[in-house]
Amino acid sequence: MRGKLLILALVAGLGFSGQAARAEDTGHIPADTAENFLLRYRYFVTKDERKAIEKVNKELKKLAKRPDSPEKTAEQDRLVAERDALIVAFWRIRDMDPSTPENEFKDLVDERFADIADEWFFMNTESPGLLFRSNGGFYGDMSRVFQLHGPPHALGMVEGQRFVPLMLWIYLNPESGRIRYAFLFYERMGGSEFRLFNQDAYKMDLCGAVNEIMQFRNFAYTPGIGCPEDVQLTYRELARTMPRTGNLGAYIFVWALQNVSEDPSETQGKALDAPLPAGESAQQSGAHVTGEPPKLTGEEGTDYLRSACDRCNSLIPSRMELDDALTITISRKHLDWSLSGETATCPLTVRAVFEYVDDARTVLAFDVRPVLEDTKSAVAGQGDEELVIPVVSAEEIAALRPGWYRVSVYLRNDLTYKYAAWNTRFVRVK
Amino acid sequence: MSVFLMLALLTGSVGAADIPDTQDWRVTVTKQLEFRVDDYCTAFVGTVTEYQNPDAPDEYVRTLARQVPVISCRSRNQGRSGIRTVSDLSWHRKDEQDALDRAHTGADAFAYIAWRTVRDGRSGEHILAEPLRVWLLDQSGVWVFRQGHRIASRPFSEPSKADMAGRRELPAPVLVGIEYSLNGEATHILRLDQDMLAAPRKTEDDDAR
Repeated sequence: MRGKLLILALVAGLGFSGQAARAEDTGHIPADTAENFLLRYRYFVTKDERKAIEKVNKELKKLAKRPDSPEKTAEQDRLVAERDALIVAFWRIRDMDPSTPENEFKDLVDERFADIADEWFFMNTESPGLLFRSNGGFYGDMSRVFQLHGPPHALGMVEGQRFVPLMLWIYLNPESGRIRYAFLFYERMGGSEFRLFNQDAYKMDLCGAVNEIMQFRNFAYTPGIGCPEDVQLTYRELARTMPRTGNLGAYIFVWALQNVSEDPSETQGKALDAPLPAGESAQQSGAHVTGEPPKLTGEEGTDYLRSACDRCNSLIPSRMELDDALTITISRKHLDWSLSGETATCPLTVRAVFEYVDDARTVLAFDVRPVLEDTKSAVAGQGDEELVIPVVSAEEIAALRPGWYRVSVYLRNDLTYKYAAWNTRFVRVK
Repeated sequence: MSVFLMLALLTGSVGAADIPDTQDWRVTVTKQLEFRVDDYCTAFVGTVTEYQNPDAPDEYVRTLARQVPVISCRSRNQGRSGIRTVSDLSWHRKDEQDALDRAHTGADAFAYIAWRTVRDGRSGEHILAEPLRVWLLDQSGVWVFRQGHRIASRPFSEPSKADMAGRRELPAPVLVGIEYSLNGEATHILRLDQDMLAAPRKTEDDDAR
């Protein structure tokens, strides 16, 4: 493997810019091309998205081996277009503000990539000399956290006699001011690059966590059977060592050995997952827009017929009459109809609410859902025939308690949600 | 004053052809006709547009238009991270705007208020040159015209359907619309259906289940 890497590095050095070379060179950020998409945005792609793009890439690779032909070119174009569409969809659902032409999420991620390329930490007072390229490069743990969460709000480094150098990145929750994420890096097993400490693994095992960061680990340690003396000494040393850089206290380093967040529901695994796309997050937020009618399908004149009146885009011009009974009179041509062969139907929702003025406790509601039916030729004609819809019968009116009522009536066409409404007073005499 | 207006004053109702024509007039103000249903939901029931005559800049017409109502409800989930809240809101605003754009294509004018201003020689202020001319469409589709009157508007509520279904003794009133009236002779109600407020809400909790 080592030999293979060396050969690839040499090939890259000779100016060969093949995809394989870009993939293996950890210090280099893959260019923003469709071919490099999965490499460049690997921490942001979900499993399903990866699978779909990988499938296209595999087919393209297979196709490349075939002799050139017009069919091959056409198939290549189709696959490239398919991959492009997947990438466009990937960014569209992540756009933080879909009303602007920019994709703020892509801009944010690319800006972080530029910061990684520019070695953002190098000149930082809290992390002088710290380099991404010395710590795994673009595919290293430091880069991964930076790509996903950006520059930390606070950073500290601590070194001791008994434990390996540690570095802590803190991200705060701007609303609560509490620690949203605490990522602890350590020079694992005396290695020279910072690796992410697995806080999830030591949630219930402080002794094990301290053992993991020791210069010389105690291999005799068994979780649950006491904590060896040298591990305890290391813990005490860490707890009293002033960090070399940054304003973080030693106690936060101790705390971060077992905790990734002050929010108990957070885990390191979740914090390193591909972030939920903004579009999906918005769907899950519970925000919603309602009121729109279902889209009319089919062709006008064949599957549905719109009302033939001026200024009837949202209104059903109609008359409500309330006397012995409550009725609504509508001209047939003022309605929208659903067509099925020669049959025309119009489903309506009608609701009348009678509130007894002298006693708010007396409320009567009458809900009717008539479905008007006619022939296509009749509703398509320009005739002005009127239809009378009974809402409250004479018997029901007669049964009302005598007195004054406030009456609210609502009529809606269930096909298009056009409506009419009335508010009136009515007296039921003895 | 035109003969038509004199006649209209007498009869009170006018044909659709007599309402002001603001085509080619300059739009000076546009806003939504909306009301808050509760702390999270807003109902959009129409628009208000003000026009100025480009050939006679002291002539104005305000048009009130109705549409199929759109109800927009913000997230009720608390405790989401700041960046999520901002992007959730941006997505919601986009959904809301798209729905409103679609609704506006099917808008019908239901009221016109026309006026002319002159400069007051003493104060230098712009004042009404003549009484307001007002047209209101009633629910039957007939325009009613009056001069010197204003269109009055008031919130329109109904007893809660949910409370009534639950047989609560005293159903709470639910704000469902706005009622416009002209001199008690014509009314026009813009409203929503209470059922639209009970739309199912998909939340993170639902997903977890």
